[in-house]
Amino acid sequence: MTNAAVAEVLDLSLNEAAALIRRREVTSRELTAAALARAEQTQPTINAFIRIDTEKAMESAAAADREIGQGQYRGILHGIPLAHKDMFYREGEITSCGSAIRRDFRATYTSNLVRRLDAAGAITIGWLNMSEFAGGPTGHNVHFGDCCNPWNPEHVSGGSSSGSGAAVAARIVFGALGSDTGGSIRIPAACCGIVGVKPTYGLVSRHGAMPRSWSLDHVGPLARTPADAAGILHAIAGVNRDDPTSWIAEVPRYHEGMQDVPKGLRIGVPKKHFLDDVSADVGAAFEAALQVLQALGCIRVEVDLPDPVPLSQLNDVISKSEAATIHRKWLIECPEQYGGHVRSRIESGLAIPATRYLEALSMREAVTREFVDTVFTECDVVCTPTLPVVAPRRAESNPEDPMGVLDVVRKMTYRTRLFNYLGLPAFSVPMGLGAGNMPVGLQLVGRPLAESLLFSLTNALHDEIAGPQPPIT
Amino acid sequence: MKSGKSQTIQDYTETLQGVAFGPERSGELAGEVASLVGAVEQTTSLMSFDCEPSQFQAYIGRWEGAKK
Repeated sequence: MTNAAVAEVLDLSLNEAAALIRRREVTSRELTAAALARAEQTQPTINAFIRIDTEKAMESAAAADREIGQGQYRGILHGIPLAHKDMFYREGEITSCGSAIRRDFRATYTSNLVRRLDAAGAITIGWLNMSEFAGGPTGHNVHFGDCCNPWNPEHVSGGSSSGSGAAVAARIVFGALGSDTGGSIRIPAACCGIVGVKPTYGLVSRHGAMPRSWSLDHVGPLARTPADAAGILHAIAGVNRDDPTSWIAEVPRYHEGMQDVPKGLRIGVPKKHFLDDVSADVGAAFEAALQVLQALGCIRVEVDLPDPVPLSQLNDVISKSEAATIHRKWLIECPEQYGGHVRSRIESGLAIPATRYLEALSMREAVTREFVDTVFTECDVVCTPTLPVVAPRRAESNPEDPMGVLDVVRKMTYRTRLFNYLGLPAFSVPMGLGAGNMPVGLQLVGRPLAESLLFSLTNALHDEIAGPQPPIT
Repeated sequence: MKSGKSQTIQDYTETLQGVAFGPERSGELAGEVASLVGAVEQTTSLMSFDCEPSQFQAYIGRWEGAKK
């Protein structure tokens, strides 16, 4: 293939590119070289990467081509260029977690997720920008520079998996891993117009992922289509003996049977709270998406959802307590090495009594059971906008303004944080464009382990309302 | 926030956590923690202490597909 033709392959979906690799119409080396070239081309504008691993990526691509040439095709990720949030460990390599404190930290073991993607034959071309220590929904980073939105670099990419959202939307890579403790997969997915999957708590191991809050962290994929995300989730999900909270044994082949949306599926639209502060453009996109779902045979029902604020506060009690536990030593030894807003969001965890932290944990099962037993008797899937507005401008969401960042965090995570406490699967999928031709996201939430249903639904929705892709700058 | 609570937080974090905050920051933290603790207080009727904190994992684990 010519370089121009290969570059066009980057614009395809992961599944489409995989078909070309399998038929040997494009090689992994060609595709990886094109991905690396686009990463370098867009880095000055988007700043999606913390490190680009050209040499290792090309070596892995060559190995993939050899295997495929010998008839040893491993599956849809074989030879496919990916990149991941810079918080997943690979033995001997740097994992910065977007921080100055770990700028030179080298992992002593390899994340189970990285091992699984390696085993599937995926190519890691580099490690992606992120909010420092996965704390912050905008993608600002004082140490490595802000990650910018490919749709308009004046706007945030969303965070904390900022580079994951930006690199996938910019068609540098076909998918990326992110982590989500309060919305950090879904928010960049919404800001960048791609698919973000926060799986059910326990479906995906967190082994070898620098934690923000081990009780609330969820690892999942960001990709351009639901089918692409399904392929990555299938590769990383399932029991891992290195993570005792990973105990889901039967992982469906999500990407099979995605064409079937059950007729009469009840789509729950919150009566209050979740739509109160939504801007007119996001509200219009939400209504349009609901109409598409109804046209697909779904039934719209209005549902009573609890006020998200108390549930989000329970989430905060846990996340701040655990983050303060992880960071206390560094808060004593080198507090000046944190970005101001990152440090300030951790500090209150030092003052939360252990009894209150354990109370918040002890209520989690009962609160989740009550939510499931009430909400999911009225509907099968809950739909909300992921964010109330399009991605804010970077200058207007400066995290170093203490009052500003609290307001931004509150607005951007208002609809997402509670589902980390509840542990329910929650996806964000594109639902068109809003103000300034910036993308807006639809959040869909299901019962525990309802990923297959959510993939079917989002796949059908994506076929109907998939919009344009951002320019390559 | 009353200065007494601010002082309590200041003493608590310095003595027990090893991190010293000034009076102003201690007052901010006292307010934030009071709000978070208040959310826990509102829900305490749902507390239970059976196999905690793994009870939540056990609940999720009962759904189809989980390891039995």
